[in-house]
Amino acid sequence: MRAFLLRRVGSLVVALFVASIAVFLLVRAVPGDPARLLLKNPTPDRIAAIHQRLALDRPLPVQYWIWLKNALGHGSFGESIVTGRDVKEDLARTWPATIELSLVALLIATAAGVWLGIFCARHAGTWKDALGTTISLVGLSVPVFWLGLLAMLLFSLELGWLPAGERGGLDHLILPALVLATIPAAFVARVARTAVLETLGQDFIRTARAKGATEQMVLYHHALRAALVPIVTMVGVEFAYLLGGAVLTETVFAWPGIGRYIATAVLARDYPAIQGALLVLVAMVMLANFAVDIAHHALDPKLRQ
Amino acid sequence: MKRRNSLLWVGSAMLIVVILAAALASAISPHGPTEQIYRDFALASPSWTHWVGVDGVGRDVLTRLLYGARATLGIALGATAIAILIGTMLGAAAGVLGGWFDAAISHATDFLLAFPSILLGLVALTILSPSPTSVAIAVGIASLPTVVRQVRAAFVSENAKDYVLAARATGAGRWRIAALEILPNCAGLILVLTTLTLGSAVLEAAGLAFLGLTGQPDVPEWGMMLREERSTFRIAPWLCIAPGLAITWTVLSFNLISDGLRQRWR
Repeated sequence: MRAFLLRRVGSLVVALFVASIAVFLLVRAVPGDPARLLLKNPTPDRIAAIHQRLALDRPLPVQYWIWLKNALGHGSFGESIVTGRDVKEDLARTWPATIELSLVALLIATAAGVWLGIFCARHAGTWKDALGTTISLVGLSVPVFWLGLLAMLLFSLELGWLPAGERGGLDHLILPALVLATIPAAFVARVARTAVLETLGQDFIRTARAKGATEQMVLYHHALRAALVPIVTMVGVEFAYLLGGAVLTETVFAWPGIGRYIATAVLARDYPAIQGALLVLVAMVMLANFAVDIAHHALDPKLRQ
Repeated sequence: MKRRNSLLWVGSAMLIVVILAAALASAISPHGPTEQIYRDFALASPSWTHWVGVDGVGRDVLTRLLYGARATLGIALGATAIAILIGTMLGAAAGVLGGWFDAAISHATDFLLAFPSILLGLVALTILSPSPTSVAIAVGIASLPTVVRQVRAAFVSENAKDYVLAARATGAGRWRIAALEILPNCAGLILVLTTLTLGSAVLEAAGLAFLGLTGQPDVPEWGMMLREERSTFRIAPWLCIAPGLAITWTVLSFNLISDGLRQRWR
């Protein structure tokens, strides 16, 4: 376990390093003077100052090193062109909103997906399975932003049950989290169905049935437990989906998270904001995958030796 | 077996509707997609003359939906062509060559797969200027890692099989074996990946367009229509409902075909 942990931490650090290089190179890949891209009002003085501060006349590796020292040491990516504030402040304000939304959506998606998957697997081959499979296929095909608009129209504007967006209490969270959970839930349902079906055909399930275990016991204790490994592995993929979906869901529901922040930044070509938000999002995805790998390792006896 | 085929048939029938809409847009509709002939009828409800109503600036929405099928299918086809062609080549090369090239490609795809693909699309669009072509390229790039990984895995497993060994024994070079022996055996997988990518490309392109990254507002695209009609969707909800249904319909058709194909080839 210890060797595995060390190796996994090592690869996390390398991946973050590579990601930071990619984010750094992004602005350098855009044609034109990077100093102009990073400034709201590019006057000659300010351009000269940026050239000085970022060492734009030095070789790329030196520029990268200075950028990294600014980003990690001072948490500074520069001033946002849109908000005029330090990107650091904007990020500090937006990331908790995104984490809140995606963690709740992750819970909903996993619970709903696993339930639907088991439901389909136990009724395999019947109309109930066909119905569940169709629902998950439709769930995979619906654009989240459209679903968000429809949910808002029905539950906020027509029925007036729930607020139509922006962050607030629990009632503000329900619609965006449900909408965001749709695609991952459908995804998990498909994986869970296959995994449970596979385990249900195995000998130890036959043994469990033979010794008189109830159907509930067989499904939720024996089969689900064995199917847990592929489901947990899915959580990492799910989280990536969720953060991607968050860009659209947050835009629809005016949710003040990092997803909406980066969407606005890309539209306005707000490079300091894009760099900062991208790095934070990438770190979130990588940390999630890291956590999943650890859990996977702990759950799968085959990997433990 | 019957249900498996029905997935394929239903999906194909649904797709044919979309293709016909795209191909015959100008024949079906008497209007142009940007024609503002019904200013007085702005935001009119669906009726016999305007089946899906009229939008805020007096354009017939059904006409825009039909032309939108062209934009959407065009972007999805472009993106998928990029992803499948480059992805197959990279994946095959990695599987055939092995060694450091394989390691580099595998690490790069693992790295990229950790990212939400819409984020990859957004990143690509920060470098490219907003246009339908850029969206196609961005979505194509975002779909690459999945294709590369799957094709590589298929090539690696095929490479160990007897028929490859037999071909090698006759003295065939590895590129010849890859192109003439292994590739035909991966055709099923590549077809499944193609339909799958087409579906996700439609969703992704619509998402990027919804965020406002398609530029050129005179080309109707479904995601962009949703963005434009958002402001009026309380008084004229059908303007928003229709393009979303069109997107769902198209993506579902590709997903059905892909599931049908996958089960047939297994």
